[in-house]
Amino acid sequence: MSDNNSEFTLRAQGITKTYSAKSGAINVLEDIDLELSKGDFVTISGPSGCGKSTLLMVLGTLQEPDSGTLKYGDITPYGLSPSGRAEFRSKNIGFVFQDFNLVPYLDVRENIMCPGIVNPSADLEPRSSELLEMLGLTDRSNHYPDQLSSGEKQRAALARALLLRPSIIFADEPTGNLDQSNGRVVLDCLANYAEDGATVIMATHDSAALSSGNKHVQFNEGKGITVKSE
Amino acid sequence: MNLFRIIRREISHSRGTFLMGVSAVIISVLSYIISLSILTSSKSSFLNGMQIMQADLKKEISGLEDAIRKSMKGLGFNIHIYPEKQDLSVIYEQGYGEQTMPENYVEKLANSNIVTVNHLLPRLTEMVKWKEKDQSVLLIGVRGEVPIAFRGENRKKALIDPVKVGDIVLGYELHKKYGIKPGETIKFMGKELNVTATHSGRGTVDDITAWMALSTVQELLGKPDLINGILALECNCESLDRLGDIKKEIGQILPNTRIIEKESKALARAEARNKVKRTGQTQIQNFALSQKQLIVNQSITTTLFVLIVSALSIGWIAYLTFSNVAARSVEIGILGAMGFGGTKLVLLIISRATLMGITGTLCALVISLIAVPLAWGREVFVAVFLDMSNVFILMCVPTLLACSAAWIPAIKGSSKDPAEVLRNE
Repeated sequence: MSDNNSEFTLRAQGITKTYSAKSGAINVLEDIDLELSKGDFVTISGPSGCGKSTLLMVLGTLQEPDSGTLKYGDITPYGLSPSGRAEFRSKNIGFVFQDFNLVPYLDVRENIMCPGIVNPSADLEPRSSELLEMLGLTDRSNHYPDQLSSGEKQRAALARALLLRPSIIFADEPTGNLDQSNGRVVLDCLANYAEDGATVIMATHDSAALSSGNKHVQFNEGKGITVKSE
Repeated sequence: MNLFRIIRREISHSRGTFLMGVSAVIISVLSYIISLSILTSSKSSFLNGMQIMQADLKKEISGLEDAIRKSMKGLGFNIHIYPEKQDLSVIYEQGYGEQTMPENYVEKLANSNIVTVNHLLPRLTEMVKWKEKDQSVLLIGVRGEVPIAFRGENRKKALIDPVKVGDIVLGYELHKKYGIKPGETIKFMGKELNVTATHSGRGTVDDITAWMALSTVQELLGKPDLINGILALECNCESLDRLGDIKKEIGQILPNTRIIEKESKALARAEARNKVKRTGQTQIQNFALSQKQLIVNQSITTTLFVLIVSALSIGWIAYLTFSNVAARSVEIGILGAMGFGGTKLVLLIISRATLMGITGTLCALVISLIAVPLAWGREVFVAVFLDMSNVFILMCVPTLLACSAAWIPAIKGSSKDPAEVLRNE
C-alpha cells in the first residue's frame, strides 16, 4: 500500500450530483455522507441507474460533485488542480471496471505496467511479475487482450490497478462479466488486498460479491444510502 | 514501460490510418518539391535563354561593328577637318586642299576631351610627279592614328595602320604598271624606299596613290610640321544635330578650321547597328518581361496548388487524428483515470501526428532525392536541396503542420472528462 496516507480515511459529506437531460435534471446523488477507513472492503448495491457508478467516480476523484466535500485524510482532491488531482489519483487510487478497459495494443505485462509511466520506479518489473504470478497470468504475459478470456482480462485489469499498491481500489461491477470461478478469484484478491490494509470499494449486483465486503452501502429508492457494517 | 513505447505500439496497432496520414504528408511535401523544381527549372531556362539571346545580340553587334570598321577602311573617314581658309571647290576639284595647318592641331584634338569624333588621322596630300617613272602620283603622308588620350584603354581599335619612315605603300596602278612587288626597294623623288605593301585595284584615285610616313612627305614637299587635313570618324552617338555638335566641339578646340561631314555607307551601317542593337535589346526586354510574367503566373499556380494540397493534407491528418481520438476514447479515459495528466495525453496524441510528419517528410525526401535529378537534372537538384531555407522548410514545416493539424483533436481528446467516457462506455 502507498505510504503517503498511512492513516488514510475517506470522508465524504453532503455529496450531491445532478445530470442534466432533455427531460430535465436527474438527481443521481443526494446529500451522501460516507466515511471509510483502512481495511474496509465496501460493497455498494442498488438498482440500475441508482448512482453506484457515479458515486465511485466522485469518490475516485474523477467527477467533481455539484456540492459536498470529499477528503482523503487531510487532502481535499477537488481543491487540487486537474493535474494535481491526476497525480494524487496515480499515487493513491486504482480502478477496476466491468469491461476491463485494457489497452488493446499492449500485451498483458505492458497493460499491467501502464500506471508506472506516471510513477516510474525500479521495482515495477518485479512487482508486475509478482502480480502476474499471483493472478495466474505468467504464461499470458506476452498475450494481447483480444487473446485472453474474460477472466484473464479482468485479472490483468486487477493487476494493473494493484501495481502501484494504491491505498484505495474502486471496482465497478468487477465480476459482472465473469463466470463464478473467475469472479471468486477477483473477489478473493480484492478481499486480501483490503485485509492487507487498503480500502476497497466495489459496486456490484452479484450476491456472492456482496457478501465479500465487511461494510455495505445500499442505495435506497429515495436516493439516500444506508451503510451497514458486519 | 514508457510513453514512447505506448506511442510505438499504438502506431503499430493502427498502422493503416498511420500510413494514410504519412501518405498525406508525402503528397504535400512532394507537391512542394515538384512545384519548387518546376519553378527553378523555368527560372534556369529563362536565364539560359537570356544569356543565349544576349550573346547572340552581342555577336551580331560585334559583327556589325567589324563590318563598319572594314567599310571605314575602304570608304574612308566621314569627318574632314581642313584649314579655315581652304576653298572647298579646290578640294572637290582635285581631292585635296592646298592650304595647310600645323601638325600639332591633331595633338590638340587628341589631348582634349573630345567625344563627338573617333580615330584622328592627320595627313598631308599632294599630287606630285614621280620623276623616276614620269608618273603622276597622289602622295599621301600618314603617321597612323593619334590616340585620343583621355579614353585610355577604352579607345577604339585603329582603322588605318601607320606607314613607317623609309617605307612606301603603292596603289594598284603604280605597282602593276612597273611590276613592283612588296619587299622591293624603289627610288621615289630621289629617296630610297622599301615597298611594304601593294593594293589591289579599287577603281579610284587610290590606284595611283602612294602612302608614306608623314614626316617623309613633309620633307619631300618642303612643308615641315604641316598637314592639309585631319580625317576623323564621327562618334556613333545619336544626336538630333550631329554635325552641329561636332562643329561646335572641334571649333572650340581648333577655332581656325572648317569641318565637312561626308555621307558614307559606314555611317549607314553604324545607324543600322544602332537599330539592330535597339531592336535586339527591346526583344530581350520583351522576352524577359514575358518570361517573368510566365514565372509569376507559374509561381502563383504552384503556390495555390501547394497550399490546396497542404490544406487538404492538414484536414486529412486532423480528421484521422479526430477519428483516432474517438476510437481511443476509452483508452484515453482509463489512462486519465490512472493519473495521466493533460500534457501526457496531448503528447500521446500529438506524437502520433508528429511521427506521421517526420516519416512522411523522410519518405518524400528519399523519393525526391532520386526523382528530381532524373526529371529536372542536377542543376535543379542542387538549387532545391542545397538551399538552406528550402532544407529548413522541408525538414520542419510538414512536421509542424502535422502537429498543428493534430492540436485541436489532441486538446479536445485530452480534456475530455474520463468519468464521462468510462460512465458511458
